[in-house]
Amino acid sequence: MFPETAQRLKTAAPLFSHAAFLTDLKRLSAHGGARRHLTVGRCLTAKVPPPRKPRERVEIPGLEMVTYGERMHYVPGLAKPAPQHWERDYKDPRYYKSPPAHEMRLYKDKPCYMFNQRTSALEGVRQAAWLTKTQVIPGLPAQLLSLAENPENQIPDQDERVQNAIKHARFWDTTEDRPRKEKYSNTLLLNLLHLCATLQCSHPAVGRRMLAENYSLATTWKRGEDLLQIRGQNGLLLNSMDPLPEMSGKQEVADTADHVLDAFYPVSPTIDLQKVHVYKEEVNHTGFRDDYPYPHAHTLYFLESADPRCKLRPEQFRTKMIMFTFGNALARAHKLYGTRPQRLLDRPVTVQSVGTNGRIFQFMVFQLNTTDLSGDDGIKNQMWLEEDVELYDFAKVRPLIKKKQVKVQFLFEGRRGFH
Amino acid sequence: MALSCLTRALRSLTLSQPAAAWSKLGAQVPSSAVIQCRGFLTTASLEQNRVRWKQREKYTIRPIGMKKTGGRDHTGRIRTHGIGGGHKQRYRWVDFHRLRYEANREGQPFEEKVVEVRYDPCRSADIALVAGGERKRWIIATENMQAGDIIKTSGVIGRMAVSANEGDAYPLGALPVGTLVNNLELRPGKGSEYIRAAGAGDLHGHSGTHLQRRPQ
Repeated sequence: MFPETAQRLKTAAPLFSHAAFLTDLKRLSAHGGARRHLTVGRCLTAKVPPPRKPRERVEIPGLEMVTYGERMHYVPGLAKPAPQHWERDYKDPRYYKSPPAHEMRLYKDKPCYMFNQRTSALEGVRQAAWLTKTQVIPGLPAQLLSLAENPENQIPDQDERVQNAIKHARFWDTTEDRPRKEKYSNTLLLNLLHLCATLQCSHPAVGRRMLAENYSLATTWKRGEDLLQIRGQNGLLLNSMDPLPEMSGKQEVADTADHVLDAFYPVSPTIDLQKVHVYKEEVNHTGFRDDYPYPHAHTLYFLESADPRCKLRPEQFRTKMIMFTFGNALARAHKLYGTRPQRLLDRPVTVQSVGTNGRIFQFMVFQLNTTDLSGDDGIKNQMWLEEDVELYDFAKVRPLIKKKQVKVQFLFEGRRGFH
Repeated sequence: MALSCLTRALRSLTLSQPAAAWSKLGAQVPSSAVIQCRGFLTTASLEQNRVRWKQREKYTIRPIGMKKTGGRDHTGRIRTHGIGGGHKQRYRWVDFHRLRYEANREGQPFEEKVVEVRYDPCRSADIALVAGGERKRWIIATENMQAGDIIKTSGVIGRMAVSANEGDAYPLGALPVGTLVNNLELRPGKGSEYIRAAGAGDLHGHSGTHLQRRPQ
């Protein structure tokens, strides 16, 4: 192939000097890939030779290699200088490489397990209960249910207004055929919140609450020998000037000491948590400054579609709810009573939370009784969890058309009796 | 890279040439205007995922997107016929080295829990997601494996043969003669290379150092 090419090139351009020719050919042959030459319209190499491995550099201790680095040009016989590490003397943010983990300022040997908004815990509610030292009680406490059933606490025309809210979220809030899940779940939540806020005339306590969004939460606690942290930007939080009343009395709190937490051998309780060696110790921050007028966390609202990249299954979604509610309660307790573990809090911190995917709701009330979470025995926290409450069965957008006449614009089937 | 070759080549195209050379060139080689040009590529190679999807070092249970080769090698020609087509697949990295200890717990037999058993498009056998300690990994599922089972892995060879349950992993010397084995590892630490397909299972032979093939 090459002699042929050489002949052709020679006939084509007799003006070329022999040396230039050879350099050209050498360049052609030295390059690894098939090169196209303008004068020769065909492939010059059929098969790419495998990349040659560079010669091994042998380091002999005591013998210094004489390199041509100082002479600034190649000298046959001298060794190639080893590549020098060069660093910019000024700081350029475009070309900044972060140091490896063990050279960072906050590096610690002991790892910390972080729970964040994207964590998908394998064991679900049991894992959250173990990590937060909580007793899970299915169903909401009786006081809350009686409050909801009380007709004084209900909005006039409640059923109709809630149905309108659902119809607005599911059918009317778009110029396209149907609104997307992120949009309708968010709209529905805000509509329902607005309906609750209309009770302000009869219940002045509603006016002492404030909504907050995207605040950064950080809490630390020790469980056994492991250090655990919750970090994340939560979605929606209802803050209040007054703390929530506690749900269970002193006797029930003392009874939780007999409850045994569910263990799930052989899986470790810290599975799926992000293990980091670079972290700030003892970081406890509610997300708000000290002089915020609404310091107590009242209710958290979680949307399943808040993060489009992270899809959590229902069990994992409930775990996230539990962990972040606990994080808020613990941050508040640390602020009130200090970071030293307390076996029994004088006034337990209560936080509620609601999670939804647009149709199915999960309700939860968390009561923090103790901040002494290192051992498995002793007083535990309590949690009331009501799972999978459907607000309505289905909401069909496609209109029912019979004989080219629109009979029903949209179908919406709900349950009688809303909470 | 192609752009830099192009610019380099165009830079070498100088307009100031001696008149005599130009005229002679023009007479002899009407087509070529290049005197000492290496030639330049006008196409760039697209970055294909041909081998880079296989070069991941950290283990993950998330499925990895594969690049099908269709039997073609690095030159682009078919090296092995009969390969190609078929549904797109994502590769689930199966850990064939069963006795892989976790970072802190070397040397002790350990147990793992089967989280789910699912279909794997890349092989005939099903795969099982097992979780133990702080890690999860995929292994080849045995016939009656179900979610919630506990499987044991041990590297200890005791004097008495172990009564092994289905799904457990032991050294061959610890197993009683006549057990059906699969996912056999010939060299310790290399990972299992034999008896991995669906329906495969070999009988642990009499003298303990060989396997008898089960009649098909």
